[in-house]
Amino acid sequence: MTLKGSYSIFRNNTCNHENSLNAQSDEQLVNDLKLGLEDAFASLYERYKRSIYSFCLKLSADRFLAEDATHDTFIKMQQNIHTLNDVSVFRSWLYTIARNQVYKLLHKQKSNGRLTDELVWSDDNPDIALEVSEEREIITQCINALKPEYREVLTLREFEQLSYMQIAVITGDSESSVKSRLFKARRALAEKLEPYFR
Amino acid sequence: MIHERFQELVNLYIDEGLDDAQSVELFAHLSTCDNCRNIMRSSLRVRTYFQQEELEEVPASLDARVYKSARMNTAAPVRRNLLAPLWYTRILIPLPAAASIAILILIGSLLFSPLLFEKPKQLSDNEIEMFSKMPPEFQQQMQFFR
Repeated sequence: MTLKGSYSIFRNNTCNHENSLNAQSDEQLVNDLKLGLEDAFASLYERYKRSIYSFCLKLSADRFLAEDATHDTFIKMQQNIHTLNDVSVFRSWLYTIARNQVYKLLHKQKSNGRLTDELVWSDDNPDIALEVSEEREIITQCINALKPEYREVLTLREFEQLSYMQIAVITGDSESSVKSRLFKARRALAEKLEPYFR
Repeated sequence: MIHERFQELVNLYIDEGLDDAQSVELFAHLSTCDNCRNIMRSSLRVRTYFQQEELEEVPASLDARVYKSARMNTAAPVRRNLLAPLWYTRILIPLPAAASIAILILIGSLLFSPLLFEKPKQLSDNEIEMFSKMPPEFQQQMQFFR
């Protein structure tokens, strides 16, 4: 995996969720991992495992797949860490690996077909279970019914609170494409949620 | 079409990208349009949902799997890991400096090459004749110094 120049926009981007487990910075740990120090791997794993697992789970809406993707992400991190030239962009690099692993596993599970402008929902006719009454459950089910590409931009924007540009770097799309997908996801969700929140 | 535009403005508003004039325009429209108001309300609800989301706990079985796989990876020769940073290290030499060094090497090689590759001086016929006329002991000494 090679790094693009645009990754530099992630420099010094503080993590929203991870509190540092120890005093060592990501940069120090990445350099130690490059030298083959096992403790560095453990520290990075402990620091990022919950974020990456949560991200994989939100993207896939499948616990087993999220576990496999998280596992593969950290093993790939260990194997390819020497290709990371600019250690300051480690976090976004890790998220890109996680995203690719989720899509790889989703593709194995079921051929998703190409993303089209019209398809927002993962099923042709997604029926949200009517028995659920809790607001959070309804929203969760609606979000999970979105196609992964739409869940992805929503998660990266709303949960990870990344900018359009940062999302574009992770997904490999243009900024306008990210914006458009986010818009479609929000509008589709609004239509789906309307009957429950009148 | 008009709603499409205002729905895009809702999107921008959610992402805090609206200027004051656009905000005034949007809220004026929202006061009269149920559909766009619904999108605004729903988008804010989804935002609140995500903000209240907590990070998931990682199952212990996953921890064990990851550490096991990582150990198997490090059991492989670490030579690649040790050499890789050196291989990928960039040595930056400014172009003018590199060009100057190259020119100096070229000039130096032109100056010193005649000295290094100069053929030994050949004796002339007169010198050979004089040498043959010398006493044998002296000839031996001369050959030693040659």
